[in-house]
Amino acid sequence: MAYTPAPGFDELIHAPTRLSIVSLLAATAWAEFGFVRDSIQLSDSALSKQISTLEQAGYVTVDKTGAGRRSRTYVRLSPRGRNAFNGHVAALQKLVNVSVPDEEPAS
Amino acid sequence: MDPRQAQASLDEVRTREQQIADVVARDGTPWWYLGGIAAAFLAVTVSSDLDDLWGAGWIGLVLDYAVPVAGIAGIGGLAMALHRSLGVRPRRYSGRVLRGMVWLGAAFLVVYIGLGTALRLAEVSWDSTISGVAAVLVFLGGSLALRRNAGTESAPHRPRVD
Repeated sequence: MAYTPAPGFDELIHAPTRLSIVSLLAATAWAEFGFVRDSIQLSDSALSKQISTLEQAGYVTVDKTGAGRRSRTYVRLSPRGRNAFNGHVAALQKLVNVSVPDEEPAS
Repeated sequence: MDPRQAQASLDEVRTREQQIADVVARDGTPWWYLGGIAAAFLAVTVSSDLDDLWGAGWIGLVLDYAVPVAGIAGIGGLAMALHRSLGVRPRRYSGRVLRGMVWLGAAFLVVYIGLGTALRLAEVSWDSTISGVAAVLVFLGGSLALRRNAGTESAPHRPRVD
């Protein structure tokens, strides 16, 4: 049975890999790219792709410092991303708590 | 989307929050960090006693102001270096870590102020240094205990190696 997601449910964040990334970032002020990569267990390219998607949506900001082997990339959740994440979690919580079926159940 | 899927997503959110808390609890107090804080604090306590001996003129100004300011700046710098080495700065500390830090801070202050006051009243020389050393030993011992406790409570962190 399908349920209507509560307001605040964010399709962009809900994708499993992005949910893991955003959840991790939500618990931090910032995280280094390598830390996120190792924590989520993604390849560099897979993480880059997801971070780019989130960055384009304005949900994360990316800062690069240094050059060459000393370069570091820091990722942080933007205020907009944090609001979207909080809204998404609230929507999930509402769905779990209420569990009221939709008027038009899906197949 | 059904409630079971929503619950699974919420579980993922909690897991990632806990992952950050575990990393900080387990890896957030390396020896260079603890040693740096201990050294900075001891420098301040020793300077306090030296100030009693040679506190006149510019030396007094250095001991009164420059050493404490440098000590605080050094501890701040160590915190920044710690976050860089961890690769993450937590948004907030978990209740377990916070409780440990509060207890440790309270024990540190009780030893430093209590012993220091008793030694000063007894007119023991180098009272600040002696009580500072005792407080630092409490700090190091408590930090070690907290780290061991965190290590047994949290799951092992195994970064993937490609």
